[in-house]
Amino acid sequence: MTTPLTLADVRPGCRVRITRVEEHPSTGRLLAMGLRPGQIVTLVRRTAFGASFYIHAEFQQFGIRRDEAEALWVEYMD
Amino acid sequence: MGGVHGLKGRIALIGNPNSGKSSLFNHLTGLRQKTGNFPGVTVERRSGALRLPDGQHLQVVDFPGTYSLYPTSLDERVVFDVLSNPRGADYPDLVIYVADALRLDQHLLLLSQIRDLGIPVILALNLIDAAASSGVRYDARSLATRLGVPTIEVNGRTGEGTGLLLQQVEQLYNGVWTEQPQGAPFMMSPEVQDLIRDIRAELHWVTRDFQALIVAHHLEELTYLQPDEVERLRTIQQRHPFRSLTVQVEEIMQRFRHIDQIVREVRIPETGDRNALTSRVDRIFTHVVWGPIIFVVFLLFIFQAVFSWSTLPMEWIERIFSELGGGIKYALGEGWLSSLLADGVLAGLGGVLVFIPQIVLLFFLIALLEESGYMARAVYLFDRLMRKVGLNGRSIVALVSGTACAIPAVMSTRTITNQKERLITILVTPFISCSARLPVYALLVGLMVPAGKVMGLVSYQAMTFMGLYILGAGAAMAGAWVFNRMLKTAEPGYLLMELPDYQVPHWRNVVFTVWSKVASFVREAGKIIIMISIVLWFLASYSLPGRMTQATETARAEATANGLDEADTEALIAAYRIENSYAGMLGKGLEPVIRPLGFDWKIGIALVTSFAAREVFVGTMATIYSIGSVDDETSIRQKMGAELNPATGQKRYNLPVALSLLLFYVFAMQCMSTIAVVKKETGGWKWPLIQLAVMTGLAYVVSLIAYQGLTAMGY
Repeated sequence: MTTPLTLADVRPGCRVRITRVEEHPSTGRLLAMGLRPGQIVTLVRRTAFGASFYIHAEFQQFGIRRDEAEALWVEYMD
Repeated sequence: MGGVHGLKGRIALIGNPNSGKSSLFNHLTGLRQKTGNFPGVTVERRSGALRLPDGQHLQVVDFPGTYSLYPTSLDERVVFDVLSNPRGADYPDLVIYVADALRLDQHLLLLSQIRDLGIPVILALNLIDAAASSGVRYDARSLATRLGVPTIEVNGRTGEGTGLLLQQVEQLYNGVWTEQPQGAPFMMSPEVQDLIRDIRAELHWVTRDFQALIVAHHLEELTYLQPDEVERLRTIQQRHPFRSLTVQVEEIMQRFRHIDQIVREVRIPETGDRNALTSRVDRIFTHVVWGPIIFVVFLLFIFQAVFSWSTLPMEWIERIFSELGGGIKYALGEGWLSSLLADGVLAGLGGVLVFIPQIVLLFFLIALLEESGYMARAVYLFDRLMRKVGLNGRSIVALVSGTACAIPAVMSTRTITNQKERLITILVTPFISCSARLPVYALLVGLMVPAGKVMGLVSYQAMTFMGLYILGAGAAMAGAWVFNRMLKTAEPGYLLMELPDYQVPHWRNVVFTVWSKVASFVREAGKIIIMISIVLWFLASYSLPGRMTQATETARAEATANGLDEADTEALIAAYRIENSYAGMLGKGLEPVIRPLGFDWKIGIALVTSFAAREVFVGTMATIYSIGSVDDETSIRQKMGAELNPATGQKRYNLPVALSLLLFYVFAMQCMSTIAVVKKETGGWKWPLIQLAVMTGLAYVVSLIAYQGLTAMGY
């Protein structure tokens, strides 16, 4: 196992798999929008100072804030 | 309607955001639609009539896009409140559930929850061809069987499939559908089951376990429960410890496992290349540097368009109304009735309609940005910056639109789903210098600032203009910061949003958006604006008995004594009449209050009348200084510039007075239309009145400091 990391720690351009969704005010919304364990996501780019993240997950793109990205625990794909 | 087995003839259109729901709504109802608010909240409620093949008319309500029955915004809360309360007035007989075929798994979550509430539901599987071109296809028939829900393929853009959908609605409405879903989407743990059993024993109207579960999750927020019911339910919950978030997450995960399995089964495997346009465009449009630059370019374009393209139609409207007014006066002759109709009612109506070109243009352009999918990118880019002062990424649209006119700008805040962020945006938008301030700025800057240029490049006057705009924008940001500290909210803020694929805007949706904005502006704000104009007309045309006649005679005598021609005599009479009217009395009554700002009673009158709209200031000054032609700005400026202050023997409009007046117009809420529209958008008088008090108070203090400070410094 690699060191645990969240989506906020991932470099732009990397593909990761969500392993766990931490409890957060937006947890329900994250899950309902399809950002759930097992989902593979790509961190496409960030806004200035890493405030918001542009991510891609199977047929759709999302904009999420840093604290929301920090609720998504991920692992690199092989 | 509705005679059939206790049905109310009510259909709910529900789906996730960006599922193509609104397009389908437009296809289903055509022009037979109404826009309003859901009771008690300012969430837009669109409803329309839908005609079944058998001729029956049903009412269909387009609900805000929602991801699940665990609401995270006021929009979603509305959907939840309606669907969870079978005794409520809006509770539907039937749900048309719209799902985007490309994201079927995600979109089936809410469907599976609605299914468990026991509401009859039809799945409208949207954007079939877009999905097919991406290599995704479904076997709709087996999907229907697996879900136990009739499924119709539709195309929200072209309207294809709506005929079949209506047939299915008719069948389901008449009770023709008996299939049950295969397999339970989720199982509750034994502890939760105990809780559910006790809740169902307590609430007789709960017929489904899932309804009971929802009550358990949202006990403290369900407004439709009786206080004693809530009390007993609390006792039940104490017996069965219950961690809402954990149970929620478990439920959603189970549902998704169930859904994933169904989707895998009904998906027809095919290979295809995904539409790569979105990711190519976004490489530039959401770029860390280019993204914001492109956005600013778009905004400048919108600002320019709203500002300049509307000039001509606005002039036409003004001319039509002044011609009409002249016609009325000619036809009816002079008298109170013709004056009321021409100067009160028609002027008020014109004052409403004159904003339509700007509203149409702004909403046309904004609808293009929304429909194409661009707006979501702007929100993504500016979320952080706007959030720092308590606003939302979308606020930037309102703030920039405000440079043209605060009215459409305030209306554009409807796209902000967080109610606190929306309210703050509404409260600070009128600080932005709008186009109606321009004539006032032009008059006063010309009076105050010499014509020279800084190092021969930029004129002092232009720099003053820019300074005034920056001042307004600064006040908006500072105001947002302050309001953000003062207002409390229960809604968690979030960004988490879809960035939908780019698409060519559909004309139908654009037209409907523009139409509904214009209609609601005319209907809601129009009433208030016309009322206030009539009041202002009355104040400016009437006075205590005999006083007006006397003023007219005095003026006429003075005109004869000075040998004035007919036009000048008329102008002098008008000046005397307004001085002696109720408005004039108000202006004089105001004098003690505004004297510390350097204003006299003449400015007082103009402050009263220009409450209708800021640009009226110039016209009123023209009347008071008895200048026949209102358009003659130079001569007003000359007269004002030449006037001496009898107390000091110096010019009345010296630097302190002119600057104080300018600053007053930068900050003060001198616009009844904005007040009307804020009242409409916030659903009551509380916020517009607070806004009026804060803006006028701030204007007063700033003007006071400027005037007293400059006077003390010897200017």
